[in-house]
Amino acid sequence: MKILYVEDDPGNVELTQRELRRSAPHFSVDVAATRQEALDLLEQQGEEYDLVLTDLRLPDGDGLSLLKHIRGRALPVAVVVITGRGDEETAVTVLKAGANDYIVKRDDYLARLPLTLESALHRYRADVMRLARPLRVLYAEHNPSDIDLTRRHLERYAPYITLEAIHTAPDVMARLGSEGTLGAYDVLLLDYRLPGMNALELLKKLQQQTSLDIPVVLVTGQGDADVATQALKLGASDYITKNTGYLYQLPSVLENAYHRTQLVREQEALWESEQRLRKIIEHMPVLLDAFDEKGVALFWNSECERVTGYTADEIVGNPHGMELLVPDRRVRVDILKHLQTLGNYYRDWEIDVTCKDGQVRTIAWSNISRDYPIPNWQSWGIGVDVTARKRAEADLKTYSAHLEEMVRERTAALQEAQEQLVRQEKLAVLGQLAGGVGHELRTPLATISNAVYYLNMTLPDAGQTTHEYLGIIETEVHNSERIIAELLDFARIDIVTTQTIHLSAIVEQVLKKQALPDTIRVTWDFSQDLPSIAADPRHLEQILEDLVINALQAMPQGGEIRLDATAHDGALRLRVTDTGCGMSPEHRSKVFEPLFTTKTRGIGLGLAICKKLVEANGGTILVESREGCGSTFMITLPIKESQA
Amino acid sequence: MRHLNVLIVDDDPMMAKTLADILQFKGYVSKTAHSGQEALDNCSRNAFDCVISDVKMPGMTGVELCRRLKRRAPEVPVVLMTAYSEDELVRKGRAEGATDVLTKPIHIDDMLAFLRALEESD
Repeated sequence: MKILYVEDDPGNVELTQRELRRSAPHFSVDVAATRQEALDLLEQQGEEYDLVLTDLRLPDGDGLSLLKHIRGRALPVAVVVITGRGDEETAVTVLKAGANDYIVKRDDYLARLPLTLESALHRYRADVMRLARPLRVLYAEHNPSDIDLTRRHLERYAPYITLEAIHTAPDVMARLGSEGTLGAYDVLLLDYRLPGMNALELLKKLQQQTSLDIPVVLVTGQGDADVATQALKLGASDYITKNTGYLYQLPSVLENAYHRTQLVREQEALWESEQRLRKIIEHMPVLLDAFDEKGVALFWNSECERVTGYTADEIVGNPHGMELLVPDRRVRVDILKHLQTLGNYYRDWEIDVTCKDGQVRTIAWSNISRDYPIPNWQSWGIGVDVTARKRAEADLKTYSAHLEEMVRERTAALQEAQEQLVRQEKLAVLGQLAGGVGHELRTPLATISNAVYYLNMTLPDAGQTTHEYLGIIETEVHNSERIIAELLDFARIDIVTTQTIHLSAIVEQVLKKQALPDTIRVTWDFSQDLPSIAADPRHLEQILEDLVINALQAMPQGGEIRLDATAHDGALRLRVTDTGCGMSPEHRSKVFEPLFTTKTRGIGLGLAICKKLVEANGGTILVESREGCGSTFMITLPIKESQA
Repeated sequence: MRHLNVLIVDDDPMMAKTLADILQFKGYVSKTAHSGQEALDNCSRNAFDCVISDVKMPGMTGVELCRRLKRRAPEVPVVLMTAYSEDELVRKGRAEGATDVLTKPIHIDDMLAFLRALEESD
């Protein structure tokens, strides 16, 4: 409180200041020694002062005139006047002039000073507030002089009270009955003796018909104590008895009635607001809980109950509540440890909570009670059930990983396919190249061949060596041609022209074509009812030729070639067996590979071509072999359909 | 025995020469041409009993030559030679009237046998 102390006697100033410094250190005191000084200060810093404490007797005037000036100029300060002993009359004058209080300079007035000043300021502020908001009274009284008296008194002593008068009970009903005018009044001042009906009846009626929420003050006559009690029972707020000087009590009675009603209204509003908030907290779709310093739950809202299955009864006040929700001790310890580091400030901390039914749900807890503490709650926080979301995230992760896996696989497969395609293309290009080269080589070979022929023809008498060497050239030309033929065969994209063929016919043809040395014996034995096969006859010829040549090559010293064919499971199986040197297991595994050869000449395409041809005709080829004993090539070819 | 007049057509001079020399040694009268056009010119100047021609030549192919020759002198046999043994070619050649399509390197004995047969048939 900032005080302006107006006192000319320095001794008093000293005493007062010392006292105030001691007992009310929160007061700050400025001193003025004269009225004028005080006025000047108020002029300059009037806004800053809360209260003016002035002595009555001042060198250049008196405290009263200062007071009048202050009130006249409506300066917003409380005023307390220090009066001398025996100055009761002055006291009244001072009060009437608008002082908020006076203090008599006697005994230990200084000790009482702080309290007096504070209550004076309080009262001043209350007055200010009151003046700001007038009290509107509806006065039901039939006697016009009573109305007049009351009005005049109020104008004088309680100008913030405005009075509107009506004269009969029906008037009251009319005025308060309609909705519009109900809010226009703060208090109903009801005289007991109204024409029309008596106040009690009126009260009853008012209660029934309207939602009368403005207070009613009943004015009773002397000796109407009964009436008063009954009126109170019927809902009147208060009553005032028309005795001498009752008018002086009227303002405060009216005010109290009003304030009491206001209080009730405010309380109701507060209660409603509290109810609303309570409902929200209780029922909002977010978990809300609160704990004390020992970790025992103090609050557990219905969403907590719904999600966890544990009721508030089971959790609140239960020192083992935490154990129910987090049964694993180690996890609990971790949580508490983490909680200590975080303090009461974290958001979206996901904790797995075990529900009553055993399910585990993930709750994202947020706790900001560090910044928003609530009395009696050591900590409080909210939680959101994110189980579904986490599950979805996990599913997404799994799916994503699976997807990645699938993508990886597909990519690998694609890569492989691409590589294969590239390989095939390369092969195709090589094939074309080989084809071109092969063909081109034939002409020079042909020329050499012709030249050798010519020489042989024209030099019959040339020496043995010459003929020998011509023979060598011829042989090599022949070999070169063979190689080219192999190359071309392998490179060629064969068009399979399938026909119905009898294997025996082909075999016959092939054997006839081959120059079989005497050291080779051929046995072939096909049954007469061997089914026809659907294949390209040229291919088959070539296949057999290759196999026979291969067999021959395996038996340089001679041996036996055996061919047999049987029908088996819808396919024809042909076996070509030789009694040659056989193959090692390693050799056997590579025998059909292109460019694999154990011979010093040839590029090793023969059997590779053979395999390609067999497969192009829908068949398979396998080989069995034993080193030193011989080999058997087995071909299966599809039987021509539509055969019985 | 009449000496047959044989025309050998091949864009490869060595090929043509070796064949011609062989036939010559065997008693035939052989001439060479190194292109289809040259062959036609030769044919208009001389009469040949047989024409042996390579198929793959720049400009006019052997097949085309065969066609033209057959238009002029259908009774004169034309034998085609090729390093490319595709059936398609054989078919085309035969379609144009070629008596045969041989694959290089030629079996000289086969060719001589053919010519002998031709001689005897006349």
